[in-house]
Amino acid sequence: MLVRHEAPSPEEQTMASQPLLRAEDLVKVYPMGVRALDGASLTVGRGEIVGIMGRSGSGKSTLLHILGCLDRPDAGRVWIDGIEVTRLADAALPAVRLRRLGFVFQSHNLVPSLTALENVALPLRYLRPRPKDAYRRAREMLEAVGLGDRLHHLPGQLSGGQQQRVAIARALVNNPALVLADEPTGALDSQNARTLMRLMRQLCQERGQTFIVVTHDPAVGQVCDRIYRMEDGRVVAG
Amino acid sequence: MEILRNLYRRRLRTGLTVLGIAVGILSFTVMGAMAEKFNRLIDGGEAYFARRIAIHSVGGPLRLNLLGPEEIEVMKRTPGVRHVETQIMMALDETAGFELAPRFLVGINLPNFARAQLIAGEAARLRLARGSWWQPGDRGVTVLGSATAHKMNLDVGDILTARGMEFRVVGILEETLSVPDGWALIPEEDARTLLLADSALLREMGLDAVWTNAYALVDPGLGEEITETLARSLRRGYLLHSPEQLARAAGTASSLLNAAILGSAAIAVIVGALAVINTMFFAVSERTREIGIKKAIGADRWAILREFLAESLVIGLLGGLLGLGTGAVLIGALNGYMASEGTPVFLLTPRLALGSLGFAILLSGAAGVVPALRAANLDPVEALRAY
Repeated sequence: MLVRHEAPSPEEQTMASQPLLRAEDLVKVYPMGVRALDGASLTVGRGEIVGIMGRSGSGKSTLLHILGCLDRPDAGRVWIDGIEVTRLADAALPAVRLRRLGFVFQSHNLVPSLTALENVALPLRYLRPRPKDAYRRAREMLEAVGLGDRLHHLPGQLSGGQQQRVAIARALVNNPALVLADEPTGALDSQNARTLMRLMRQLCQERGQTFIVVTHDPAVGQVCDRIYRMEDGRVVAG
Repeated sequence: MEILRNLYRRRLRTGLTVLGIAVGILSFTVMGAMAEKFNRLIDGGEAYFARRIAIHSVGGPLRLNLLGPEEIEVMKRTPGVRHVETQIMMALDETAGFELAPRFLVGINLPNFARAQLIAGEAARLRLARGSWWQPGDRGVTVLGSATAHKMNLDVGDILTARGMEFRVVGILEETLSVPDGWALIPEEDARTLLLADSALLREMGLDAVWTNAYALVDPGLGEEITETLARSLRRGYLLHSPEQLARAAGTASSLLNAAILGSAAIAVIVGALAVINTMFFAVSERTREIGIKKAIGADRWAILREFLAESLVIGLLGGLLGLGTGAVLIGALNGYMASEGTPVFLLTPRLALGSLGFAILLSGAAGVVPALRAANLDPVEALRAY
């Protein structure tokens, strides 16, 4: 948790009053004319936990990829943390993902040749702090997700639930403003899914981070502050 | 660490690729070592002949291919010739058949030889490794070239038996990596006795002042001009080689050898590069999802490019080390065997060792560029769809 001793600057106050994420009229058309997004708009405030639900093929993953700066819309604009990311050049996007975003995917989230600790330290490695600091922070994150005793295990030596917890630790290690999760519990049984979601909620609340989770699991929806539904490429209130 | 783990994760494929590079580099090292040795021989020869115009008779008195006192006198009187070195040269063992370093008995007149040594310069000088030269007037003595001594297993104090005559070894020359290594220097009188012993005709004619070959020693840069003058003075029946002609011939031989190195290098390029390209393309397609995840969490193109390039460089380094190591062992073994046959044929120089290793790394790196670029340019969304 960040401890501040100074009053926020006027600029920071303006930023704090802005929503963390704003997406306007996003359109994405795939070849063969499939309109995955058809005027999708969404606003998410700081520290919110928002669920996006919908049938498969409703455009959930496409939306998540665009919000995560992994893909570009054919039309529409996206602001993250006050930056209009849809106007940035391709070469600038990795830095946005590295400094402002965290990702958790459904499964196979981890690099198989790296230990849990190295997987969590990976984003830090791209930021290039001193390796000692990177590994200290990675260890702290793993301890926070309850895997302090699995630091040097390879992903193949961890259970599915443990692997997802490592993925969460990695998504949070950079202190990103926004964490995006795509069906994070999709490969877990209901018991593990509930544990994982509670952990995510707790960590986000502690750190004041914003969290968007795409899911079709109603149990996941229960831990969210708000739920949106995707229908025919549009976002509607749940 | 991650690189090594990734390579270890697909160890069979990595192993085979490393082996592919190693085989290429092995051939490069061994071929290169042979070329280095021959280049050294050629350089040694060039240094030895830098100030010498070689003169052989291809006719002469009664077409016996010999040089007589008149020819030597003509040479001595030719302007620019500082000294005429005379030799009586014959095969040490006519029954030896093919030898890599042919052995010769070379009859010399000690004062004449010493003066030639002085004029020929530092680089062309023959030095004693052990023992001493004989005294003028001594007979039945010899100073051996290093290869002759080694092959015949002779040392100072031993007896060399050649063409039915015995010579006491008084000295051994330092290795020159050139023609004199195969010589056994003997007093001119002994050589002439052997020459006459084979020819009743020569004995009958009383031709006792004859030589088989001579060198006109000249100052550097004058070789070509004096060779022409000598050719005119000696009229026909003599074969003359100027230092420049010898250098040109040596240059041609060097080029051929260098072409042989490049040929073996080309084999290494093809074998090694194909294997590395194949392995790295496999690695990229196997790890597509992993690349997608890395891009999602903030890796830029350069980070991905660097990771895959580093893997191919490590493959090159391992292959290079293995190839060079195997090559060095093989060269050592072959040289050990060759030494008993005459002269070692391979020379592993530091520049060749460094060159081989550098070549392996550079080649692997170059082969890894295209697969690494493919990885770096993967679309993150597409990559994340892969399993």
